[in-house]
Order: sequence, then structure tokens, then C-alpha cells
Amino acid sequence: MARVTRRSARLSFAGLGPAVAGFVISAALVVSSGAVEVLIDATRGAIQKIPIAVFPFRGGLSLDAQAPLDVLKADLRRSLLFDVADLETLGIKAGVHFAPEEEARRRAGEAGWAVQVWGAVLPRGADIVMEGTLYDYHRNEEVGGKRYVGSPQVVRQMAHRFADELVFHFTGEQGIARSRMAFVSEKGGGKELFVMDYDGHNPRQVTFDAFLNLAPSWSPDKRRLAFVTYRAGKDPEIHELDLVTGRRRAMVALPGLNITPEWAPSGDALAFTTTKDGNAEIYRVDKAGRRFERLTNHRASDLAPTWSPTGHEIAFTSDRGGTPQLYLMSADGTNLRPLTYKDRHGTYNSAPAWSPKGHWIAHVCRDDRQLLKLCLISPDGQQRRTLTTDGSNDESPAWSADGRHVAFSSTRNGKRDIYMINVDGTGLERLTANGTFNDDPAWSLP
Amino acid sequence: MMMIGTGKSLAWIGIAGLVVLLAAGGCAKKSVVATTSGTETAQADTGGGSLEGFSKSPKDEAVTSSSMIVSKADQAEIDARKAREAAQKHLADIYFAFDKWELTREGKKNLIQSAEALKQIPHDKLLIEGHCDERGSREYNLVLGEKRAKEAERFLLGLGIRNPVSVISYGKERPVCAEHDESCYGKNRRAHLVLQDGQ
Repeated sequence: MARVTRRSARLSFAGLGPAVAGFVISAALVVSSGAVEVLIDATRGAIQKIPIAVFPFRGGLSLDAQAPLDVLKADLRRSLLFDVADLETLGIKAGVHFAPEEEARRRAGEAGWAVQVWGAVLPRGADIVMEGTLYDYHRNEEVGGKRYVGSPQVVRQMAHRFADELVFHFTGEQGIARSRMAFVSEKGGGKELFVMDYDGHNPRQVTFDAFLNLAPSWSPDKRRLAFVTYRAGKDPEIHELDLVTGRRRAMVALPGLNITPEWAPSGDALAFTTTKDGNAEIYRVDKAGRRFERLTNHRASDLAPTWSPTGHEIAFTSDRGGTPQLYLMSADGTNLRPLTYKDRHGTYNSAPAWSPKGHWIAHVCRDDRQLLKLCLISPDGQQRRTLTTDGSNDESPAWSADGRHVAFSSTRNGKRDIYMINVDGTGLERLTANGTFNDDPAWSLP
Repeated sequence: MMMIGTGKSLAWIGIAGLVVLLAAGGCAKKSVVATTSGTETAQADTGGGSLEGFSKSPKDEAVTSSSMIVSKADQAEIDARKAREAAQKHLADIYFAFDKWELTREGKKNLIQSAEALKQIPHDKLLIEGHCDERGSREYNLVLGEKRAKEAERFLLGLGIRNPVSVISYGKERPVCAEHDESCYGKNRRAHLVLQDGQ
């Protein structure tokens, strides 16, 4: 029996003029049905983008104001919530003062860009200051501003932060511009963990074992990475690396393979796969690494758990039906049932990743060219989509916190790189291009 | 929620109220508009501090780099592992069919020969590595590699070898070639037998 709770709201930006007449937000539709709890984002088709004009930033002295402007505009476009004006094409120039001339604001406003933003990057001693203003054209009112202070090295972070403030102001949602991506990169004959900004900038190496480190998983507090390491020279173990202190500890070192670590959304437990029982089974362990709980019990291979956003359900891969397929179970291992079927969904489905909004499970689906592609399936099994179709191997899907983007690794441009794509298949963007093999992206919360 | 009331100002208040309502579901706090100027700064860690919201009189918001402490390489450990690997001897690799871990006839023949050699050096440790080609997903290939290694182990033990045996799987993480063709795929679908001197 389904119990439906609906919280929905209609916002009419009457104050922003006809261009933004019908901006609709519906809050999450929560469906509770038996043992399945999913959060369905009911707004998929209904969001109209907010038209926003971002005027060129003023730069003080020799400060580069173009870079933060580019970062901000890219962040706003990637959020998929804004329609960012191309002011150059419109022939609108801002002028020399901090705020654009009234003429520029009027021309932009009349062209439909009712939300307007401008800013400046100025020196303050050895630091820089980034100021930004949010302006409502139709009310002729400065809604408010921000002022960030920091070293010149963090100018991109300032722009990311400003973008997320705009996202939050208009939608109440946490933007993803501040998020980071952990991934694996081949280095010196081994595979090491790296962390970069979500837009591919500033990659930094965080392990130096010169052997195999794989499959990072972010803790929800964004401080720690659980990952698979062959460092001990024998069976792969799951270690945890604290990025703030640099400390590393072994979390799972059972005999056999210990792989596929995934932190629960609450941060209280880690799900993983181990072959200590002679075949691959899924277990969970508390965050202290002490209390282990077995979740699957079948002589076939059960592996690769991914948590639902409520933490009450787990999707995973099992070949108990003969070929790898996706299955669902409650987070205590009960109510285990299939999600994909050989005759309907193909003979090879694996590597599930449950969206933080609950509405899709992204996964690897192998097609009849024997190529690994990415597919989406709804948690009730009713809807199925192919996310990538070209002639490459695509795998390791990882979701953004807003549930609108999937990061993955792909061989489409030679070796292997990290990409991101919108959940509707548009907006493919390459994030690594360092000439080596990059894999296993994991997307942090912002 | 219906927009009751007339005039743009009421609509605007309604919207602001709604944004605050939605904010209750998020985790950012709106900053109170400050009347004091300048020197106070709100702490904002770029990687994780809450968003502060827009203000008509914005205060300084400090932005720091999300610095990470990284542990340095343990060079002694790395060198020891490399020395161990350099000192290893290998027996013949055995190969597998696509997606399969059953031994082929050819594979069994090779293992029978290897068993003969192993019986001469019963104290040497045997490590069986399982490997896969690139056409399976990363984590499933780790499991498949282990199944291949265990099949070889089972067969050798059945032939009566007395060496200490362990298995490991590298999935598709340590291929011997990288071309996207059947010849390379075939070379990667293997169990690799490694001898370490027993002491």
C-alpha cells in the first residue's frame, strides 16, 4: 500500500516580469511503499531556467577578472537552473564603473535578463577581495551582495561559492560548484588517488604507494576517502584516508578480496564486498570499523553495493541468475529482489550508483558490441534509459549531489578520462586530459 | 501554496518566505544583516562551510583553500615490493574464455606440466594471480579474476602439489597489453603463476 506525502509549492516571480513568468518548483515527492522508500524528484520536466545576465567583473590593478567571471558563468550553466546571457552577442557592454551603466542594465533587462549580477576583484594587501551584487531589474533593486576575502589562489573557489549562493537564493538547493571529485589516475606504473575540483581544475595526488589504489568513496562529511589498496602486497584491503590530517587506517582487512567500499549517506556505516566466505558477499561495518554485519548469503557473487538516499535500501550486482544483474535489498539484507532481468535489460548490468535524489540508479550496461555503456533505471524498475551510446567503454558512474549530473570514466578519447554528463544525456564535459588512464570518479557533497 | 494578496510587494514577501521555508530543508543559514562595518569576518571553509546568503551590507567572508595533508611515500616499502617482484619466477600463464573461469583443455595441460615442476620445489610459495580483459566492469572483473585464480588453485591442489598456495585478483588493473582487439583481450584473460622462494 502506497502512502504519498506531497509537499509542493508554486512560485510566481511576478516581480521579475514576463520573461520569468512561470518558474515552478515542486519540492520532493516522497513515496513510501512497503519496504521501498524513494525520493522522486517530481520537477524533472517542469523547471524553466532563470534568465541571468552576468556582467564582466571589474578587475583592480592587474588582477585577472576574466577567470572568475568564466568560472561563475560555467558554474551557473552547469547547474542547469540558469539561462546565462551572452552579453557580447547582445552587444551590451558594462562600462568602466563597478556597477554597469543604467543603459546596459536596461538593455539587458528589456532583452529578458531580469536577474543581473556584477562584481569586482580587487587587491587588499596580499589578499584579494571578490565582491558580487545581485540585482533585480524589474524592481530596480539590489537584492544583496557578497564579499569574499582570501589569497589569490582561491579566486576560483570564491566564484564557485558565489555561484552556489545564487543557486541557493533562487531554489533553496545546495549547488554543486563547491564539490570535489576523487578519482584514480595511473602514475609511475601504479594507480593512485587524486582529488580535483568538480570542474576538473586543480588535481592533487593524495596517495603515494606506487602500486594499486582504487575505488575511492567520500565520507558524507567530505573529510575522508575509503578506498581499495593492494599496498600490503597481498589481498586488497579497504583503507580510510583522512584528507585533513593525512592519517590513514585499515578499515577492512578480511582474508580474500575486500573491495567496493561505499559510505552510507548518514556516515554511520560502510558497505563493501568481501570474498572471505569463499565467494563475494556484501557486508556492512560501523564507522569505527568494529561491528560487521553480513547482508547477502548466496554462493553466487554479490558485490558493488550502493545506498539509497534514505539509507534504507541498497542496490547491488549479483550473478545468482547466471549473469551479472542489479538487485535491491533493505539495508539489513532482507527483502532481496531483482531489479534488472536478462531478457529485458541485457545480459550484463553492474556497478549501480543510486542518485542522491533517489529517482534513478545509474549503472554499467554492456551492449551487443560488448561495449560497456551507462544506463539509468528507476528504482521501481519501470523506466529504463541509455545514457551513453557511442563506441567507447564507459563505466564507474558517480552522481552529483543535485542528482542532475553523472561523472564517469570513458575511453572515448584515447586512454581513459573522467567526464561528466547531464542526466538527460546532454552537456558532456571532459574533466581530465593528462594523457594517462583516469578512472573511478567519486563526487563529494558540496 | 497560493499567492494571496495583491501587489508586487506581497508576492515578493511570499517568495522570500518560501525560499526560507525551503531553506529549512537545506542546511544553510541566512546571515543577519550586520550594522557594524568591516573588521569582523565570517569563517567560511570553501570545501564545506554553510552558505551565508545575500546581504544588503555584506560582511567579509573569508575563503580558504581546501588544503589537504597528504602522507608521503614509504620508499622503503615500495623498494621492498619491487625487489620481491623482480626476484619472482613465473610458470606458464593459463588462459580463459571471455567471461568464463572454467579451465580450458589447454589450460589444464599447462597446469599439469606446472604441477610437475612444482613438485620438485615443494617449499617454494606459489601465488596465483587472476586477470581479466577490459570488457567487464572494474569491480566485477576483480571477482572474476579471483574465480579464475581459484580454479587454477583447485586443479593444482587436486594434482597433489604441496607448495603453500595463495591467490590474488587484479581484475583488469594490470593488463599485459592495452590494444582494443581480440588478440590483446585473449592475452589478458589469464591466471599468472608466480613463485617466491620459500625460506
